[in-house]
Amino acid sequence: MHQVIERDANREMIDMQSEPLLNVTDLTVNYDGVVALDHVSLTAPAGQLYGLIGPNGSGKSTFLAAISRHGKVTEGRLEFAGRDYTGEPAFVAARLGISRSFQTVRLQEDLSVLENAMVGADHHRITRPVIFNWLRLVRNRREEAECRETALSALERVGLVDYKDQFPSSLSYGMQRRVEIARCLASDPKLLLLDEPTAGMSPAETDDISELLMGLRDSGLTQILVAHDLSMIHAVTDHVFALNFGKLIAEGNSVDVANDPDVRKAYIGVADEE
Amino acid sequence: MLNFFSSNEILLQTIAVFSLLAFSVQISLRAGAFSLAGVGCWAIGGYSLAISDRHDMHPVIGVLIGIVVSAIISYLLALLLVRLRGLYLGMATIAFNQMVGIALIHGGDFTGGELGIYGIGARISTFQLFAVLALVSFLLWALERGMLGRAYNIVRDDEPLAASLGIDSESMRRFAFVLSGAVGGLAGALNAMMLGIVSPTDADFPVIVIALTMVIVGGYHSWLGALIGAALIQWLPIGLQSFGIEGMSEWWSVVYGLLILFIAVYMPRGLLGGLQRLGSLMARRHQDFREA
Amino acid sequence: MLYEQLIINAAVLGAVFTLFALGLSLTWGALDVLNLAHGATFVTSAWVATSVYSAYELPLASAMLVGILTGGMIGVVADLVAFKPIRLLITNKRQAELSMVAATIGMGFVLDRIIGRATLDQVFSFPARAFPYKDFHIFGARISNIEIIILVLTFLCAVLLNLWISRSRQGMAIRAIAYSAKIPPLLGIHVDRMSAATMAIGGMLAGLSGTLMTVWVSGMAVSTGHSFLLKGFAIVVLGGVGSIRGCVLAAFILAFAETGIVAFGAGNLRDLAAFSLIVLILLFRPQGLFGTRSAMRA
Repeated sequence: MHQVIERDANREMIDMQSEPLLNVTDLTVNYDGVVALDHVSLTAPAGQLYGLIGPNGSGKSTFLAAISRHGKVTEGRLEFAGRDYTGEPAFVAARLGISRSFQTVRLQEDLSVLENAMVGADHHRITRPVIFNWLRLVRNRREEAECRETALSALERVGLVDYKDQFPSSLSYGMQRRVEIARCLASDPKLLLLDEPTAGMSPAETDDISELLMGLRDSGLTQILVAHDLSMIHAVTDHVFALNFGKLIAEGNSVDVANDPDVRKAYIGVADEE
Repeated sequence: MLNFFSSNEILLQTIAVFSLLAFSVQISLRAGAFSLAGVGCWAIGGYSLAISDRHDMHPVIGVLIGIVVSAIISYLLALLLVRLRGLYLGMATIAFNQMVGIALIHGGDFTGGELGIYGIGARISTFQLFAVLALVSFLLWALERGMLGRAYNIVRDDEPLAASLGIDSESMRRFAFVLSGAVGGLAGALNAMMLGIVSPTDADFPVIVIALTMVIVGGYHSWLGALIGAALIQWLPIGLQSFGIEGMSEWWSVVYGLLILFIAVYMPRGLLGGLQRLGSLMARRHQDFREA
Repeated sequence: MLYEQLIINAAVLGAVFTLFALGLSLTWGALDVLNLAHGATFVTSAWVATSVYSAYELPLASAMLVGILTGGMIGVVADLVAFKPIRLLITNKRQAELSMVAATIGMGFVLDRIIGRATLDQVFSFPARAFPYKDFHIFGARISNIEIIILVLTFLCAVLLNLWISRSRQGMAIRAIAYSAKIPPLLGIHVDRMSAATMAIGGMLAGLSGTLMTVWVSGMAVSTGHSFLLKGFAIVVLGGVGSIRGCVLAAFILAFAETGIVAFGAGNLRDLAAFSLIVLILLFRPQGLFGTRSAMRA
């Protein structure tokens, strides 16, 4: 099922008014002479599902890594909810509310689905130094139960609560991906970064994920989605950024961006989008 | 039963003390830090006790001094070293251990030079040793369950993932490092009380190797693995002899070496891991039977 | 005490260190293996050489060759028995590293015990008249023919190894494996074969170092292996894992430092040199003098 989202003029006006959740200014990433990102500037108001497209090597993954602080930033400024976090390490960015998934599914094989989701829910408690978490047995028991509840509701949101006691190895790739998303959700993020979440999935699984992401967007979660599947981009995103050679070459709604001459040139060899 | 305990008292005491040494290595390995600095702290703890005993301090004070000094030194070491990865960290901590040994040799009258300190008066009973062991086991158990257990597993296995989940890996590893040193210091102090002597070779290669192999053989994923490994390794020379195999007392280290080799290759999670796998296999078999 | 004599002694010691450390650096760099059995290989090869010499009355050179080959064989066996299965069975990199170290500890134990038993834990060497010593005098100092041979052989080995690693196909394959575990198979490189080859060469270098050392000092024991192992690591860390240049330079630095310390009276601080070196280097320059591999976490 592919839906083309109708542009809602009202919604666009609301978007313009809300403060940008993510504000990227002149982001430059330079690896020993190779310029992976070249003075990229963009703002992302909250509540939208953003797409990030571009041919291979255009800097999409580098961008996600930079804004989640997993990758280095050579120049530029990153602001999240008004706070400058450019120099912070990755775990601080995560604690600010930036949650990310990786290109490959990274679940703990020896933990059950529920336990994997609980790892995400631990998010709030893990900020305390170890010594404060160590021996508070009574408090830990209570908090563990709360953590379990949070994880269960996250699993419910992705529709996998029936699989809570199974192990990742017995789940399909698409389901593992959903568990990962549940893990992210359990941490109550403000911004969710998804790096090719549907890579290697069947069309049916891709549709499931698409619906899930749109549902999350509808309940207010801001997301940035890197995907190669342009039909998915059309179906799911509110606003698209296009990169090429580390530069931001276009942005706007998915149809406009797809028709942008610079974007078409970047995608030489790619057949017409649907 | 009492007969068993009294005739094997020394073995039991040794197992208790070496279990604590094994714990110190396990704590670190579990957090993904290949640190053997617990062995250096073992020497430091032992000497702390010996020196305080010489000054007629109560043994509990001596043990506490050993723990605190070890913890402080481990913290400093952690600040310096915790960004080193894998084998390099291992090497640095081995070098640290050797330097502790050398410092002890050159400590003059304070440390008794090459001979060390002997005639330590403080004593500890088997019961007390096992009480301490039980307490430390409990502390480690608490570190392995719930949120901390989950977090440490991820810190060990997948650092970028840990960061993306808001886990401060460096801080957690530092904690493990300091705890590892503290437990090592405790172990060394108790060992000093048990043996009555300390010597500069307490931080030497043989101790390092024993500490590491106890944990590898037993399984470094859990405190229980370290305990199993310690018990087995300490029992092995005696156990082999009692099997009455000709010449076993000479060749037990060959058996030891082969055991380590086999487990390292085929049971990377140690004996504990092997037992767990066996357990889950049997549980599944049982379940199949019930569903059939 | 003649400075020239000290320099010669230090240089020869440095040469023996170099051969030993090159083997260690090679396996660490290419296979990520901390070969704690390298010292035992060193001693075992020497012992086999001396035994074969006495038992079969071979010419010295042949006996030494046997020693070298023994070292190589031990390396290959280690690879087959431990490293290859670990590569196959253990996918987690950190776990594999730990397992490989533990496996080498186990193998070291076995070799140590066997040799210790065979030598009754005594020092062993070639019989007194095995090697026709001849002294030369240069710059007022004495250098024997064996010492010249050691220096020359070390130089040759270092140069050949360097050429081989940088120019030959197998050398490049080894460098590829050192760089990444996943890419070489895609390029058609047989990781198993290269691993065995690397271990063989590393073992042979240990064997060469061991047999030369035994001839030079007329005495070798199981404990010498332990001592060399520790120093070998100091050298590899100082020089930078995987760098031949670094290894050679570091070996000579350590040899000169040790010789100097002993000569100037602080003999019992001699070992301190090695360990202090390791810690200092790891603190301030973890990649060593010429190292290329990353020693730091991201």
